[in-house]
Amino acid sequence: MNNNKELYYANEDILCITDNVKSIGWESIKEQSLQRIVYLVKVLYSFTHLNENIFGYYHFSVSLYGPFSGLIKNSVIYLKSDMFLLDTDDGGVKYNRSNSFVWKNVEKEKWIKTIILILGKYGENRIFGFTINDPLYKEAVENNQVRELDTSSPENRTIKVLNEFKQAFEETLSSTSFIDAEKYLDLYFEYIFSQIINKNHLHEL
Amino acid sequence: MNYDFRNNTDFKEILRQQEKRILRRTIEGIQETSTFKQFYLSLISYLRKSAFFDFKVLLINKQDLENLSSGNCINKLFAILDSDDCVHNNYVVLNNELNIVDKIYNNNYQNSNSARRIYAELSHDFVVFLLQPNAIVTYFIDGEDFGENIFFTMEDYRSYEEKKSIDRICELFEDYRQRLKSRDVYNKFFVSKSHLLSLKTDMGSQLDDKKYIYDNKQLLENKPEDKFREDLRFFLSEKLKANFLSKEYILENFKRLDIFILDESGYELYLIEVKWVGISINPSGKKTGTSYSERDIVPNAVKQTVGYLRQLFDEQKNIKLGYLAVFDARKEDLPDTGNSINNLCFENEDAIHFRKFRKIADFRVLNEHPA
Amino acid sequence: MKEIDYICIHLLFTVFNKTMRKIYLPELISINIKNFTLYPNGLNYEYDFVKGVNLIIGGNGMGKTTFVNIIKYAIIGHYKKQFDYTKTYKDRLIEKRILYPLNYFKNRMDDEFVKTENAKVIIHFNINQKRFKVERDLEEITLSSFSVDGNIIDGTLISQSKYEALNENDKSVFLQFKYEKLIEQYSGLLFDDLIFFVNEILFFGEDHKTILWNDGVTGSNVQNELFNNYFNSPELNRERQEAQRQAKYFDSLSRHRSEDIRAIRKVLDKVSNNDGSSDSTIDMIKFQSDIEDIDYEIEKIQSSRVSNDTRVSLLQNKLNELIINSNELEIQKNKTESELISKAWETLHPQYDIFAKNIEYNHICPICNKPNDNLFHDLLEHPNCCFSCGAEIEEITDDNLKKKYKDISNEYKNIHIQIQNNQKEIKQSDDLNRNLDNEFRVLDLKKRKLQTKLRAVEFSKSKNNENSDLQVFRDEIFRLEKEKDLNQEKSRIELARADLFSREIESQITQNVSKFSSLFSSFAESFLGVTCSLTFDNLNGTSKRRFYPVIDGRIRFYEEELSESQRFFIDHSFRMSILSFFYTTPTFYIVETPDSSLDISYENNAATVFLKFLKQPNSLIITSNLNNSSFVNYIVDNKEDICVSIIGLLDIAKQSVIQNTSEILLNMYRDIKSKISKNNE
Repeated sequence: MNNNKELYYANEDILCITDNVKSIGWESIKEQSLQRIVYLVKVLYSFTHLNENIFGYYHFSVSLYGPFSGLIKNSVIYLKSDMFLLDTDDGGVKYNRSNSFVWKNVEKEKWIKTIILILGKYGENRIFGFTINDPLYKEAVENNQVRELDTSSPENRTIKVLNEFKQAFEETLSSTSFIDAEKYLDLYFEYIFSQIINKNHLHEL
Repeated sequence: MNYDFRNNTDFKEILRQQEKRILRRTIEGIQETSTFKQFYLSLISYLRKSAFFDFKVLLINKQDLENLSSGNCINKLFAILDSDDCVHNNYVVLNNELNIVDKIYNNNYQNSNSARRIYAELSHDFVVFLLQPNAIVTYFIDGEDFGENIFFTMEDYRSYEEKKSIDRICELFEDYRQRLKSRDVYNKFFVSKSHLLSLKTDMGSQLDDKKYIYDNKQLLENKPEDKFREDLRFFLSEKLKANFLSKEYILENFKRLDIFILDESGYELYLIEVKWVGISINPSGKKTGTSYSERDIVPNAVKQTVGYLRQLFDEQKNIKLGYLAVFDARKEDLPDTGNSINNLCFENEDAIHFRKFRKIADFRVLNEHPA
Repeated sequence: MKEIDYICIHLLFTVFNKTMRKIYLPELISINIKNFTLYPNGLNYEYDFVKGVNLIIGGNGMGKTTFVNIIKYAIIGHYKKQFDYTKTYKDRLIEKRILYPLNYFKNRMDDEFVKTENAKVIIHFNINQKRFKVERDLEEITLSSFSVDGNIIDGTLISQSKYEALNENDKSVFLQFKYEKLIEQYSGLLFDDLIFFVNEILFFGEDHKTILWNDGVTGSNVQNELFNNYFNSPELNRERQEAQRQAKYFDSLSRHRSEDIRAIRKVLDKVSNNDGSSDSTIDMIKFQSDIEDIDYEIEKIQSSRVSNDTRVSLLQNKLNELIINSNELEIQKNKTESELISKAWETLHPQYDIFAKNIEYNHICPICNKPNDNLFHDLLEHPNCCFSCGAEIEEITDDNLKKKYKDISNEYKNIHIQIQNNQKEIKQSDDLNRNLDNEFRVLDLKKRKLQTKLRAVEFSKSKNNENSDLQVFRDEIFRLEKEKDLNQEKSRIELARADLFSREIESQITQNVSKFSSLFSSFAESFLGVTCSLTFDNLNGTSKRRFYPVIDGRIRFYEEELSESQRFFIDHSFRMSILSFFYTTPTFYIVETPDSSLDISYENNAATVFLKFLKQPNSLIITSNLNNSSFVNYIVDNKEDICVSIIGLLDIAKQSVIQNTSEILLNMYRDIKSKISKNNE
């Protein structure tokens, strides 16, 4: 099938993620968490990058367990088949150090690493909360959307919300020149988490 | 969740109040390097995995932290933290190879203000990491305390952690039973007195007003299942650390699941089917409407719930348990509707799924003050 | 549109629209038709509406549609369409309400019969508990009198057509004006919006105009109007409608200019053809015309691109769904496989399963990592054979297990075939997109070349100061072009204004989509028997969202994707879910011959849908010629305790018409009548 090019891109990304989470102390990671991380990596991309979304080959849909992309599933199968990933006892996978891989795409690695360093604070079990509260995902669920999630567009709903978030800072604080985009992301996730734990509202999916 | 930041004056107020902290969080410093972040996050991962209920201080000087040799760094870190030296001492100094260079046992370790002053002092020479229970790690750099978050306090976090995880849902059912005794709550479900009076006229009853109201006080409003479901769901969503699916989950034969819960991590499913017994008023409001009795619960409702469990299982959803919640609004005081469940027989197929079925003890709803 | 406009509208919006509006539609109580000789045996016909089914039964030509039109006329008057843009006449904006033909009722009367006075209708209805009694003349279309809660309202009488011709400022003394104002006060709706509701939402006529698929290309954008009524205050709604009318007006002005330009170009073409000589003016004009043609082509390509993108988007989503489903099947298959007895040493390699999956999902040989479709097909066809050497893996002796395994393997195979096909379709669509992009590039290049040539000619012309005879034409075209562009721009601005209102309410609609969808499902699924839901999305390239039905997992963009009766009942379901959701007080819903295109298997379902709607007190008015008596009987025999009452035109119609009616029909009618009176005892 002609999709092999995309499969190999996905393979790179998945290995990059599994390697990076290892360096923050996660001994394994579940396949669903991989789905969720890649989703966030893709949907947030345009907040800090002006070029076209380099993760455009992923297509996400709403599913019971959060955002789902068939390509990620296929990639995990390939990686397990070739033993780049090994199964762990708790139902997850881990990066097989003995079958190592060299990252070619520096830009992708940098961005993936950035996202993981932000999400890492909250732990693997909290990532679900971030995806279902993602503005784009939420909107798709509310509207019973039957087409794929619009994660490629640089104007997607999540990016719009992030920009307004940033604007609120710019309008309120005396100086925001020291806050770069990554720090905004960090603050944004902290804000979302604060909303999750301060559930004064009915928590709806 | 409110995403409208443009017009959110409360949000902007928070920003104004926290301006200093935001400034401190976002200026450049060693805490922005990825080596630092990886180290910090690894500490958090370690705490999450271990039953840590201690206070421990890790000290490492800036150069060593920046020059941490990666590679087997993390494994080494975990090993060091597990080691006897680290366990027995509460002040530990590490070098860039993550070897213990110095260790102290000081009885006065605390999380108090005086202790924090000490840490701040130390942080002129070292980067100080304070490991705390609940997987919290705060750090001190150059005399500054980097502990508090901007949008939530540690208190918020702790009370969130104290929220019951889904395995303790039974305790919540008990709490809910108590809640149903409060007037504000049970009032919603029943037909109001004034409505009862007009009903008396419509039904042509010869009884006097007081007697009629007394006889019919357990008459439920139309479509009570919606009200019961919403009330239970609202209560649980406030107290449970879980995610409630509001988007309807529709099974093959169009049946809609009443309350469908995913645990915090989003991997495990639980369902609650809500039923009621008693009498409700007709939608026109002019006569009695539907009524359900114990016979509708056993076997019908039970079989229905077990059916859902089987269906979900067939669809390979990781369904853990299915609860049946029955709101008992019957006039008479009758035994629990689930009493004859044990006499039920299930065929082989359903028997497996029946093991995941749980009947919650009836939620008795009385339209009277418990006093 | 200026920044300030956006801010103003947004502020106005946040101030006015904290909650959903409560709208009170008319609740029908009774109707009295006098001296209408179409019903000569009912010259003083009285009927009390029930909360339930009101059946209007009559043969062809007995006046069922007329009766329904009398009801509508009695409430709102003889209006076919609410106040709106109708046309541009000699550059003047004509906006007005449209009336039905004035002699509509008169022409249906039978002049064989003598009557003492004019035919008239008196109707009683409630709006939010306020009792209206309205009397209108059926021959001279006029509002004769009305009272509210017994208080007769004073006002000058005037025929409806004359009223429409008046200036706004002159209307206030007339009875009709007072009527409209009082209706507005109690219903929460502008009177024009009530006309909209009565004609478009509460009425499903024999022309079978659906509203779910009506996106404003032909006719008005009903969904847009409907939701703006419920979620916008009357003031903001009026502003929005005003902006829409202005947009249409400017658009038509711009199109008129286009027509004029085209006419002049045609003349010039002729001239140049006859002349044979080339004239720079003519060249310029030709270039401009060619550029316009190319623009038109480009627009077509862009819209194809958009609809193709939507298609791909839907396919990608479907692909993910298929993969999720295959995952579930796979686990079932594995379970079955593990039920098979496995021998001690001859077991599979521990990686066999994952190798097999790699083949099935990625079509790759797991050993050498090269693409291999043959392996894929082989494995699916022979799931019980080793993919490497072909040997049978397990000897299955149990027949039941064998069958079970075979069934699951087939299902599994089918889903993988579906996945493969889906991926092919996606690839085709991607290729199509590439072709469209190429076509676009070619046209764009052509356009640029022409523009360069045009500029060259313009430049040389200005240098040479040519004095052409055709200068006057050129000047005229230039002037017209300017006007056309100006009007197009104005139209765009007004449209943007109107759209802003619609987009503001989108978030409010979004919050309620799942409730609408579940109401819709409960109605639609009773009819169709497959899963139905609503999705709220923007799928045609505009940024405006609207509801689309998703039937059996597929979104139905066009009504032609469903059969006739499916289409109607989906539309009914949509209307009913909206009316149920916003229910305040009982109202009415008129359907003409709903059973006309039903086949036997759907009759009961159709009755179920209507009966479900009546769980909340409402008056359903159905006309029937008993063509499909089982449908009517299902309604009459209903076990939901829903009231049924009959308007028997067969009793009040002309004698000779009745005599010409078939015995069968008359018998059916009598049966139904007696059943109903028995039920009502």
